[in-house]
Amino acid sequence: MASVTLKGIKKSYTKDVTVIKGVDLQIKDGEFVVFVGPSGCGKSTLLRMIAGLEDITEGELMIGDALANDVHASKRGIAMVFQSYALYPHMSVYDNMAFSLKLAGADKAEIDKRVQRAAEILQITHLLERKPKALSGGQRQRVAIGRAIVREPQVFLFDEPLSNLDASLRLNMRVELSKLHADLKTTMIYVTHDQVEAMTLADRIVVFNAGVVQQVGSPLEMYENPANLFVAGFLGSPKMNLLEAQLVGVENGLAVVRLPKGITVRAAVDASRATAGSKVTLGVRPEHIQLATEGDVGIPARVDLVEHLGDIVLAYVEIPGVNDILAVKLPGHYTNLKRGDAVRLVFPETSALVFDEAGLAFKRTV
Amino acid sequence: MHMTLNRPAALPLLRWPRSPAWLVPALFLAPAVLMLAVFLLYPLLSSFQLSLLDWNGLGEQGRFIGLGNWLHLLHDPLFWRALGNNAWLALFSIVIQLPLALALAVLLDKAGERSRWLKIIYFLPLLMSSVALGVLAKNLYDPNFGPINLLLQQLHLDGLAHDWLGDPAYALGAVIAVVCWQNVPFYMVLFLAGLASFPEDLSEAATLDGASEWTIFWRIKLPHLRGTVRTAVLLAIIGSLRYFDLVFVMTGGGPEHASELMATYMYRTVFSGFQLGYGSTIASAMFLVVTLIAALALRLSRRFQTEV
Repeated sequence: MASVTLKGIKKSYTKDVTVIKGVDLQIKDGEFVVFVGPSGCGKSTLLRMIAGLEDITEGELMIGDALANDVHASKRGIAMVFQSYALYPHMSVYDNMAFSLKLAGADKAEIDKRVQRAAEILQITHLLERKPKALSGGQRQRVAIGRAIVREPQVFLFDEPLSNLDASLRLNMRVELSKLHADLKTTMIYVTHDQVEAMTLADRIVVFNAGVVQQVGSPLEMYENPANLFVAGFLGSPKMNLLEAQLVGVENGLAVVRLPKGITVRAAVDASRATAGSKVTLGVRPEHIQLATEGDVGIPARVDLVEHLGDIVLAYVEIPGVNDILAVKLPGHYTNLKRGDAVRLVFPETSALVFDEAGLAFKRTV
Repeated sequence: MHMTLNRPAALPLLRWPRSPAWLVPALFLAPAVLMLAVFLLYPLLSSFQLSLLDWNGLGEQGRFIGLGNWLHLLHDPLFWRALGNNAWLALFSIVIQLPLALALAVLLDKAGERSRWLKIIYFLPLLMSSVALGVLAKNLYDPNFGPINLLLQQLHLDGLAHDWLGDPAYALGAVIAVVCWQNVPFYMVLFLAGLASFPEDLSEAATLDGASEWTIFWRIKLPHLRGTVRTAVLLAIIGSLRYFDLVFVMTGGGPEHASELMATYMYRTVFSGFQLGYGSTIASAMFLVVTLIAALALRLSRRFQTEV
């Protein structure tokens, strides 16, 4: 087991094309860190740089206490699980798992012991004689993980390992990976574009965009307190409702923002660094919006579309004068809600977020 | 104003008589079957039929002699020599052409885009007509003015200069060298295509597993190419057993039948010796030999494939 430290890591392909623009990150020993971001944001490139499959243009990579920039990929003490599984098609499952140990000159008994142990952990003992083509997607994924386990690496790297699996299998494998991490307690770095995987697996999430780290934190911390508009919009499904607004001022410690048509909303954030009248963005998660009951004051809106998902109801509503359609996540008992219904929306002060003109979040006060 | 639309009465659907299930597939297959029948099956059967005749190909139909030509073929030392030469050609095609083509393909694949011009240069011999290549090779091998001998003389290696195509000891080797030169690019392209389909992830996984480039080639890439290698071996065998044009231009099968192949022997028997019946027997025998060896090679390589 080892920590991984990135200091000012950059990756350029030409003078003008820089895909990783200076990453500083400290991954603790035994931590499960997930790199998440949209396609092309540089998360896989960074993982490959840690693996030694891509050169580091600038900066320092430390694995444990050792500088690893110029250490060969096979000597870094890492093992990687690829999106495509990358199993050797002409070798049996056993040989796939034993390949690295054979190359390292391990004796037969040791190889057998490690392969059998990994196979038991992953429950693939009965598949050891099969070739990869005779395995299902989930079984191949297990073999790929098994191949990584037998090497007893200091750091596991996962490059979108569940992307090729169907939804139910992905859920199962997520649970298995969590268990595996709990059992092995090895440092794991996991790349995905799926925010649900990131939220469920990670001790800490690193959100990337355009080669820059946007925010690092625990899943709930990131969800509750996104640092900027990108993170706010990226984490959560349906994504956070983001509405253009104007800062009216600060009243009793609450930021007051005005939506078009003079609708005002209060948010428990510290907006003191912004000036009244400046452009801001109001952010409210779909599950935080409530429908006003009789007697409540609310923002008048009209229902555009309703999706009954059983446990919840997703309503897409339109506020007059506001361009964006808002997603509202309601409890499943709202069975009578239908398209065209007039509703009044309540944005709880403690749940609403406000972002300044540059897209940075104002700090919550509660 | 209120308008009413008079809908026309629905027309009864026209129904074609139901065709039998085999008709459509048969119609699609018919052109290919017809072409094969006209250009392959008919000449083949015709050749077998002619092999039963003693006929010079001119005048009236020849005399039916049953299996006389076939019995003669079995005891014809020239045919067996030609078959032996074909076997040498096949062996050297596999032993020289394929490894050379594979080595070039691996190097070009590694060089990537930078090797575009080299690919074109390597591919040139395959684009040249065999006759042109044969004439060119004859000039290269010319004992008096050919650049090969001139170069050897310049290097004071006169002892190594030979009458390459005129000396029975060297003629077959000299011809095989040109055949290899002509065909290496074809197999190179075949292997390049195979390498292009190799998933880069496998190389990377093997690198992480601690494999050297050499190990990756032998233990990961080459097994990936086994289907291509199998195809290449089959094509090399079949091509070598049917080879004709380049050899005919360079040596005509000589000197003293040293570079005689089944095809050149068959050609000379029919068109120089005016023995259409016996020539057809050689052609039919060639067909049988090629089919038999190709089937055998296919079977063996399949067995190999299931073992790996």
